[in-house]
Amino acid sequence: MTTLWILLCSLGILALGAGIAAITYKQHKTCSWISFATVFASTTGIIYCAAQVFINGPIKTAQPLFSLPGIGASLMITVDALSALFLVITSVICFCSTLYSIHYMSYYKGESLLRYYPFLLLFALGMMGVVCVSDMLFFFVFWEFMTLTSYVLVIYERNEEINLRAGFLYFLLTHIGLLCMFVAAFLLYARVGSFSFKEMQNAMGMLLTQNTALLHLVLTLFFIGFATKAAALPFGAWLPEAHPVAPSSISAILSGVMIKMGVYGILRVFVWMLPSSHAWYIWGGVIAIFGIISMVIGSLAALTQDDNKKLIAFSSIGQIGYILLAVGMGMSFLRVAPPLAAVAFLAALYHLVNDAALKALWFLNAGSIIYRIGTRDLNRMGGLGTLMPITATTGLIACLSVAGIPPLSSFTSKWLIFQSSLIGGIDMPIYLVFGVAAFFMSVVTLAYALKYMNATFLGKSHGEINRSLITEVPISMKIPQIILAVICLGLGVLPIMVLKVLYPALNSLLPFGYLPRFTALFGSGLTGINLSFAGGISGMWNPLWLIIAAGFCFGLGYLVFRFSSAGGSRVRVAETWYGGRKHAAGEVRYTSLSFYVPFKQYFAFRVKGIDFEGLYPKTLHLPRMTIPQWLRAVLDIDHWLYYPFASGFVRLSQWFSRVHVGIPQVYILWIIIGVIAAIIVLFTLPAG
Amino acid sequence: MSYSHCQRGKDMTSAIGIGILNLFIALGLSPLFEGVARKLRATVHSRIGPPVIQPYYDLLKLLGKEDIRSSSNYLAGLAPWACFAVVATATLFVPIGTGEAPFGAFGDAILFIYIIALAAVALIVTAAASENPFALIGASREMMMHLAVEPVLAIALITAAINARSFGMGDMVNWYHFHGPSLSMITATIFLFLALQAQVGKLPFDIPEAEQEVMGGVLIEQSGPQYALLMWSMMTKQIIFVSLFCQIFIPWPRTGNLAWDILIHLAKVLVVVLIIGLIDVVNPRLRIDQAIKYYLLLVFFSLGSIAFAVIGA
Amino acid sequence: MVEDIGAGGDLIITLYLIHFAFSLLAAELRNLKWSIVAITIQSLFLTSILATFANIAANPSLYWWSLTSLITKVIIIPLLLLLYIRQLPTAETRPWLGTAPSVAAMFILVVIFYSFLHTNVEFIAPTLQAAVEPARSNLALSLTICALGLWVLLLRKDAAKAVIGLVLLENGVHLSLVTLAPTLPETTIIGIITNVIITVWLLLYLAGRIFQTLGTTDTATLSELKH
Repeated sequence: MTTLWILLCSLGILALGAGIAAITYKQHKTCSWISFATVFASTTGIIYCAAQVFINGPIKTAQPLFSLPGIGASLMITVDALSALFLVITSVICFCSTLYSIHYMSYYKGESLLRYYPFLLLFALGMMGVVCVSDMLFFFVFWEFMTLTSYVLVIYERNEEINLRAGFLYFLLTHIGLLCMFVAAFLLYARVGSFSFKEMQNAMGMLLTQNTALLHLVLTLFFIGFATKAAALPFGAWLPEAHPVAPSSISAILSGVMIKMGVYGILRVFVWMLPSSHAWYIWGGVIAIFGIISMVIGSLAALTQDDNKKLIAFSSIGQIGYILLAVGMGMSFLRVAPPLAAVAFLAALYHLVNDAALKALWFLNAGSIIYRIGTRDLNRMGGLGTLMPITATTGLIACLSVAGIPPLSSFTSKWLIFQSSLIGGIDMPIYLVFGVAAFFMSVVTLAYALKYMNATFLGKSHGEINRSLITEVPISMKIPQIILAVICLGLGVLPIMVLKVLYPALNSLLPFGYLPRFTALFGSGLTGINLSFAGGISGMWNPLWLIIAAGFCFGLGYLVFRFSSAGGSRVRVAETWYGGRKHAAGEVRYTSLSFYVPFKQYFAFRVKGIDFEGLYPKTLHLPRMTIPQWLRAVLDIDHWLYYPFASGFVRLSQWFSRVHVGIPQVYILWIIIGVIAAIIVLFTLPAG
Repeated sequence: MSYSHCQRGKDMTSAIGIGILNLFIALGLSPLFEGVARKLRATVHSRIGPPVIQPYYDLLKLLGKEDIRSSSNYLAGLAPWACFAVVATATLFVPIGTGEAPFGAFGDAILFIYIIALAAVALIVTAAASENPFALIGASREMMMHLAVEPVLAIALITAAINARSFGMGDMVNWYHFHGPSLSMITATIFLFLALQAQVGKLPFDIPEAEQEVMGGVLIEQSGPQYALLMWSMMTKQIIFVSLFCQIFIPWPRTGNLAWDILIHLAKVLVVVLIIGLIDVVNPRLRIDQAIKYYLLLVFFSLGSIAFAVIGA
Repeated sequence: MVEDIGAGGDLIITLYLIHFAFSLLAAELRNLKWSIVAITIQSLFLTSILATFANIAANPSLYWWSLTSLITKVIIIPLLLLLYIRQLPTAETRPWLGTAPSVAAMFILVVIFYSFLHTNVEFIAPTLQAAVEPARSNLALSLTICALGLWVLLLRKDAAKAVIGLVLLENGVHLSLVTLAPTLPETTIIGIITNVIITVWLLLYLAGRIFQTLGTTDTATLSELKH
């Protein structure tokens, strides 16, 4: 019971912190540090609870905290291993982001902190609440809470109209998704009269046998809702617009955690709630197709971007594509080849964790650059590696991570995805094609990651940058990046440990007995994986030995250097010389616009006047909020009701006021007339 | 065939032993093969040409020269070292003469592809850190070549993996050795051979280091020991790729004796290096967009080999 | 008592007539000073009427009434009036009606009013005693003078003249009190009169201020204050 109590306290302290932050918002330092302290306390509590859940099993409240028996909804906190995983991800990334915000928010000089810290803490609370409830109605409550607080945070920089329109697009699309989910939930509710997840599971079972078409409709609606939040294309068109305009610390949480909530929803509804049936097979394919679309279009579009946060945003879409591909594969194979499906699901969860860490790191890195330079345009940066070495290092780690370079984190998850899709695809060739596409996109990922790296930290500086003014970012902005970089490294170097943590999460999701034994899948090594799911080992990966081998080879290289310096070679730094003369700063630059031009040209085309670059429309016309003219006239009650009435009243009273002529005799006359009239009335009234 | 754990201890020492052998062959003998290719080139040009061990002399001379760096960025000093180290690490994951890569129990073909990608990354970072716009042009082109060529390598390896039901290189070699030629593997061999030219960075695909067009491209600002390391990495990469090609896709003949296997392998490598050198001599350089078009087309067609593998042909 | 009216009755009627005449004069005279003189004399005659009534009705308190009215109405109020009149122009602001039509209208109205009242006195008289002579005429006359005062108040534009009208009105009311409430104690009368004095004083002060602010005593111009 104490674990549960700690969990509730951790959630409650966020609400309390939000309140305090709302009161102290005028003192920047106080507000920031109090918010950070709140998040720190909450994070420690959550990690403790999650550890308890992983060791001891799921926890749940005995009594609902809040229940509405009339409509069959009750707020029961249930944390199983999957929820615990998401809680850990949320709390760690929110922790890093809040620490980062302390100094980062001084970039937004004119904006009030009232719209930031309270909403940040409530956003964290909302996200944690989403994964802890086991009731659909309260799930929606927390979901909406999460969406609304994130909307306020996205439009934080309010003075630009483009920001508001991007925020509005986000608001619009997520609410359309929510509406679809509502309808789906109500269709299920109509069957069983209760909102709890367990009952919904039964409802789906009933629909499976009685009315399969309705079940597919329900699943479609759920998918639309979750895919919108997870930013799978084409539902996720809001992400490339909303992420760049939000403050970088918020973009980190949005990309790192919030879109993963969409994946959580898909896992809950499609794998946990949906009974074992052929529906898994169909929907696995659908999810995988959407995953591939997101992956391909997202990665190719990222290649063409010149806005650093937009590049990272498209990368988010691409990586979500990988996760959805793995989830889809897992679902499709779950009935025919459970070991393969298990590997695919674990790959999805692993990639989810990896992407959360590295995306947050990447966004914080981009935020550091914006903090110093003041622009998001990649063409206007360059050469910052010498001035900001630590930021450059964390940026390099983020770029290599997203590309999946061993021994960093993404390699293991991508390796698992390739193994499952390529070997498993022998039986289902469509997944083979998907696997090859995934590999190709992995190389494209490397390309755009290097584009970011080259344009920002390497190369020549832009002429406008005053190099003497740029220094490293404050330490409170470096520490979260270093923490996340170490996490990326750790996730890559200890794959078996991570898989051992993810395994119970998957176990809580699948029906009992579907999941093969851990050692049967991954071998019994502690440092390396010997993957076997199709009878016989199909792949090996041991990062420890890779590091040993690489270390040895680095040593060889060092020997060469010693040899050469013994031979009289000295190091000298000289100015760059080309084109026959010295060049001024920023004079001849190879900007990010010019990177990969021939490749980009293959994927650029024009349809009906809309330019597509990297298979994505170049200018997405953001909706403008307009009301038709007649509606505006009807809604203008002032004009047709109040003003005529008011002016008539004024005229009437002015007519009355003419009585006051200002001449005393007239007033006396009025009095006399009044008295006479009163007397007459008194005498004519019947007596009594 | 796969590693079973009771053999672990014995295999560890043999792995390390073969690993050192790999390093010796790949690092130590690669300048020799380069020298042979240069001699061939001279012959075709009707010249006498430099001696076969000239690349060794070049490397030694460069090691003693001044290391002029154009930027104080720490990456500019680190990246060439990293490039060399990564290529050396890659040799440990490639079978050279032996049936199984020395560190094959710790990494399979997918790891190899990514290590090669890391080598490309190191080269690109070297170029970009040097602050020379020509180097950046070279970096951009190097990335695009990598983008276009890696899928071909990957598809060839995937074909072998599908056939062998495993990504371990030893499994692939063994399967092909025992199974004999099949349609999928033959097509994969052809496509991989066409990709070799770009992977080793020889004409008509040496676009990133184009001497005339971009003044040396990625290598423009490198001098002294750093230049030596990068040149050495390129020579070693040639050996690695050709070894991979020969070992997995032409695994015959194979005796049980280690020394004979290595000699046979080196002979195959020599033949392939000579063919590559010949193509290099007689061809002009392609433009980057032409190269990309060529390779993207090749990727599209090479999917056919996977299709053949899936249907079992 | 009723029989004694006879001789005293003639005196009363004479006094009534003179009183009435001077009221008319006070109302009509355009020169403010002469109007004040007229009203002083009218008040004097009012005092004498009161004294006569005291004699006829054998009501000793009425003597006190006449004494107090002498002091206040003949001495204090005219003094106040004269004091304040000094700041104002001597001639009254021209009223709406000219002299001749004004006099004629006044005359006609007075006559009609008097005869109406005289015939229908039962309507107003509180006691039977008040319905007979001389109380009857007293009532009629006093109410006529009230009406006259009201007429002046309403139809004269001059602010000072309005005060004079008020004094007239007050005199008329005072006179009617004799028949309407003969047993009224003295203190009440003093209270009433004090009231009147203060009212007159205030109004005169206001008239003076109006003259200072607007430059004229024309009450019609007071509507300017609205703006």
